[in-house]
Amino acid sequence: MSIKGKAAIVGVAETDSWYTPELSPMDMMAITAKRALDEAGIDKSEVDGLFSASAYYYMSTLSLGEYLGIVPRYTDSTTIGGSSFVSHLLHAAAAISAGLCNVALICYGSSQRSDAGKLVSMSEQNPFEDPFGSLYPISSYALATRRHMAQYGTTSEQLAEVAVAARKWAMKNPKAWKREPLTVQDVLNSPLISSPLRKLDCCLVTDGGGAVVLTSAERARTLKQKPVYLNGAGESHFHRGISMMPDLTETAAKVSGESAFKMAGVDRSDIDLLMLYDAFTINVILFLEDLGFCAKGEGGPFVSEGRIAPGGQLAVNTNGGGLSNSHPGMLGIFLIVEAVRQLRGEAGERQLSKCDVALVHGNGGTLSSQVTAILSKEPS
Amino acid sequence: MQFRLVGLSGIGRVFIFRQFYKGPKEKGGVFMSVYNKPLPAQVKGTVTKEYWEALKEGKFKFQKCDNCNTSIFYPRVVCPSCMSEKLSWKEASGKGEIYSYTVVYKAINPAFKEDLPYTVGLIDLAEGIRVMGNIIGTDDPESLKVGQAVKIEFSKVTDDFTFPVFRVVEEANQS
Repeated sequence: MSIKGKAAIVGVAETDSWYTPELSPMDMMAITAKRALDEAGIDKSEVDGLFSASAYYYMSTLSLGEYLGIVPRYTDSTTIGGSSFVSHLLHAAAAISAGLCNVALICYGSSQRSDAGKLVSMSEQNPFEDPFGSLYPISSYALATRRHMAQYGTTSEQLAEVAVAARKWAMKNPKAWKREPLTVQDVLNSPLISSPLRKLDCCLVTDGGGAVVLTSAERARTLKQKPVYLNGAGESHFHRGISMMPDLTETAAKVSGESAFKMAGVDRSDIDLLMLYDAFTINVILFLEDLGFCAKGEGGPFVSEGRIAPGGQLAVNTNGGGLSNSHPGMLGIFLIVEAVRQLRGEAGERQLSKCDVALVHGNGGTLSSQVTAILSKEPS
Repeated sequence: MQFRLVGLSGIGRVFIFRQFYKGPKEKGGVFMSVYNKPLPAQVKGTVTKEYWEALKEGKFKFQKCDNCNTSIFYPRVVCPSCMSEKLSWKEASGKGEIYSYTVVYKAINPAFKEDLPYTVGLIDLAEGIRVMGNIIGTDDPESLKVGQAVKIEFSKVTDDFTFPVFRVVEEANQS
């Protein structure tokens, strides 16, 4: 039995702004839940599956259910970092396919910009890393970057190309947090934080929330929005802490991607849009390699010469991603929202001329959890 | 020595205030009254205690599986390769090479501010295990090379904890 094409996304929403000191993280979940359900044309009373992850609420679906007055038959607070919401897509489709729930609501909210201006985290102590002043999570990604550079000759200029491409997409997105022009030289001139990563290799720190509503494919066809089908999904992880990652140049995206492509039955050439979890510039290079869009080690040259920027051969992170649009600490839900908008043809100035199949890839922890989903306008 | 436990911030994060000798400042440490960098939570009688105690004696210990011979770090009660519970402690030679490193230029935790910039490395020890630690012994940390040889040293930070640090081996001394 496969879950391919069995469930579809029928409503999405995100907060209006990436700086909302007047909203608590749970307020953000609630307001976006309402909008996503309104968009779907589904009443709150029909929601019987709740999914959430948070750096603020230890048992997040319990807080969410309490706040919204929802009594679920299926509840899942799986928290594996920023990829959690992509994982929730997979879990929700499985639950819907098995008849364990009919309408799944996935929610996220974070006020980390208003709160602290830095990453808010419930991460446990790691006695074999924390004493040495490794910045969580930046230094972990920096260690992977250095190794990739040493092993494959990847350069700071190539990393900067990723940030520049994200900014060029963001300039087409009126809601993006950062929209002023950015050059490779600007990135290279920004201060080192944890070398070789510089300030502009790192994601933004914003507020933000989002919600996604899924239901069965049959039900989806009777609703207001064009359904966006979940045709493939996979998840995996090799490690928790960066010192235990077997090979710093290869992530478990290799495993999650293979599962997702196999389930969906599509090739890399069928993908019109990639939404890749860009917490740091190195992420995009690693995921393009591990998901099979270029050979291992060739991600640096691959992202150069504007290939992933507007007008390039491969559309990546068309909303500006975590580097230029928003990053409230966990990015996964926003990757899904943008993919759905592109697949429905609602992306405004940045709308791709052809977008039938999109790949969403979430990352969590320190290159730890990897979750891939393939979304499509058609159920097969 | 008097211990005072102050504010628990995050899970198991304990700051211990006491007199101590601060090690890593290279050329002769400095006496300070407070060590407020992260320390491992109290290890009591768990398997990791053997590791921390050995460090205090200037030994880096790791485990080897009696059943499948896998080298194991961090310390465990079950082999992550074959699930055997028969694990033996071994002492590492302390020789290794840099698998990767990063130079930190910004302190999120103010306790590290005076050390900036400092180097965090992942070191592959000759015995087949990978360990995180600070790399010392160079004035120009950005010139360090992946694959460069390092040798372990031991830095006592409190009466309870000594940490491994890795000193760059001068090329002339490499064998």
